[in-house]
Amino acid sequence: MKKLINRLSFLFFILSVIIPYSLSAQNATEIIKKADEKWNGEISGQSNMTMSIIRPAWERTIEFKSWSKERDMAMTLITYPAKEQGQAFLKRGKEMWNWMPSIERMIKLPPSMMSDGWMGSDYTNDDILNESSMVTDYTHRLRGSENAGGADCWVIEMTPHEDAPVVWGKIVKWISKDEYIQFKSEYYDEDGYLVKTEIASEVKKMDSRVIPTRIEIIPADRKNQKTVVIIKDVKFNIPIDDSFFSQQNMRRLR
Amino acid sequence: MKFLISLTILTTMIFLPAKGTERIKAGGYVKFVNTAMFGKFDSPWMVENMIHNRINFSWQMSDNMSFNAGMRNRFIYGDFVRQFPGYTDLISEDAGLFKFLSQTISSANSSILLTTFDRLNLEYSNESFSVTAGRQRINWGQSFAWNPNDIFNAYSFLDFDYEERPGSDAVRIRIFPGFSSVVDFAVKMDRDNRITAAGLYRFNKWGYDLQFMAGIIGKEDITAGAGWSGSLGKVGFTGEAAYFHPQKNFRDTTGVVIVSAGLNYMFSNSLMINVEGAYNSYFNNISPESFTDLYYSPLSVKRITFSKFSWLTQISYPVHPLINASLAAMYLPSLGDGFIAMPSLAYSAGNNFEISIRAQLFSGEFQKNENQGSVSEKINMVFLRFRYSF
Repeated sequence: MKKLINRLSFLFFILSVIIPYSLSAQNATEIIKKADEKWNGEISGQSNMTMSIIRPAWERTIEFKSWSKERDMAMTLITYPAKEQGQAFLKRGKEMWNWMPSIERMIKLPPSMMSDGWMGSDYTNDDILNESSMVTDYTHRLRGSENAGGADCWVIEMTPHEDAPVVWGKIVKWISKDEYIQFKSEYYDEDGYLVKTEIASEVKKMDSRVIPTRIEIIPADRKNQKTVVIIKDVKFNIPIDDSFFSQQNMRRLR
Repeated sequence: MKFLISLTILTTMIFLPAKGTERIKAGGYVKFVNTAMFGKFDSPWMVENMIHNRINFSWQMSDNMSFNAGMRNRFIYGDFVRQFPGYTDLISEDAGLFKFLSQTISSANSSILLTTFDRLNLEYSNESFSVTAGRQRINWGQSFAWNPNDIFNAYSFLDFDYEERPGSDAVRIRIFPGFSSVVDFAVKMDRDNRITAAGLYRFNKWGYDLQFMAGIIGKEDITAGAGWSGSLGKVGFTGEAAYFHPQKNFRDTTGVVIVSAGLNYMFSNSLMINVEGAYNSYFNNISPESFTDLYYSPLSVKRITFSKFSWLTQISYPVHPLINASLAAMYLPSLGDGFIAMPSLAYSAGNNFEISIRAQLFSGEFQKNENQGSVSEKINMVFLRFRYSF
């Protein structure tokens, strides 16, 4: 049961990548906005991803396909490992279902399961649920220029608005000047201590967008641990009918 | 010779490539299960071993047509086979119309080799309709442990090693009017040509999945029931109720009621709690004489509980990202305040490899017959399992 629940977070992760946000503008804000649009501001998306948790003594990997439309429709199919393969998750509005092919059962997931983190990965619940927007929930300040990930980057410090649904005290982002890629992000807690670093690499052109296809999340207090997400392919704005996001289709995904 | 051929087929299938082409998919698992059973820790133990292999095969013939097969092979050896009279018959039983799909390939003094196709069906489906013919699983359960709506192949919470369950030989038609609703009709025939036919309508309303079902079960009962899955605040709330009325002497008899309802909650540290209660008015007619009567009784939906009232609490917690611990306790007042305690530890030893150890510790009382009073019984079972999935 536990593992099944853990899978949910993927949906939210995917949503956080592809969900549209509302926008407002200014100088540093303009840069953040452009970086945000790399991923967001779209109606629908489809992706193929791998997520690995890497620890000194062990490593676990999961692969999945996801589809999403607007803010409230998403579907995820687990394709690896073998034991979980074929399990599917459907999100419509605030409700979620899990299809378990081995026992041929559709399970409606209770709200308490949806806010759980993922299997000891370095994603926090906030990352996964990601209800905050890096554009509207923060004040942005341009700190200067620096090299990161082999590119000339703007360094922007983001401080959350007081009423924003954010757990961080501060975020610093290195965003490339040419392609607006977030090569590095540092997340600080409210006392100013570094909590984790995200490093993006392997920039590729996917569905006519230049995006990083490998993202590493490294917790600050455990430098020998990390979670690695690899985007194998992604498509934006593909035509998907609402009826695709149905319980019947969960069984038919492949 | 027959044995050798079967073994060759079996081993070939075990090492089938895990991923086929897009249209053909094969996967499954191999498990090794060691079971030890004893009354007291220092009394003689009964030990049984099983190599359990499953192969799921599906062939997508076109966008709408698919062929699905599930094969289960078991090689069992040890004290149960040698010492329990009728054990082979019991575990090799196939209650379906196509009972030839289960075969005892070899049956010796201390070992048995069994093979069965528990899935073998053709399915036509599109976005709003599907029809499935052949051996298939029809699962209508909503509750966690006891499912009075699951009339086609009832499930025992204790049978943890066979989550797929036997299939029903049936024709099933499903219509999907909306993204979260289904109208489901199924007709099943068993080996004695008894027909179970029922319909279910499930839909989503007020944040709940609600279902209503009605049908006939063999020549025995007429049934009607309902089930739900939703939440009370942040706490998950599920349940099922069903009423069974004898077809014979319809007017002069009273029926059976089975109800289950449960709550579940997961804390932010991933600690998960499930609590469930069940009531079964049929339990008075079961009068089991021993734990094995209950454990191995052929399951029908009316026999899903081990007590008139039953209670279950389960707590599970990932003590380490790779290790999940759980403890379930079932309280059975009808068995002289009996209980079953079920601790378990599962370790993810690799992406496809799992090692688990669990126990079922039973203690209770049985009424022998009216004059003899009751006899108390203690049975402990410990299962060590290795699972490799492919």
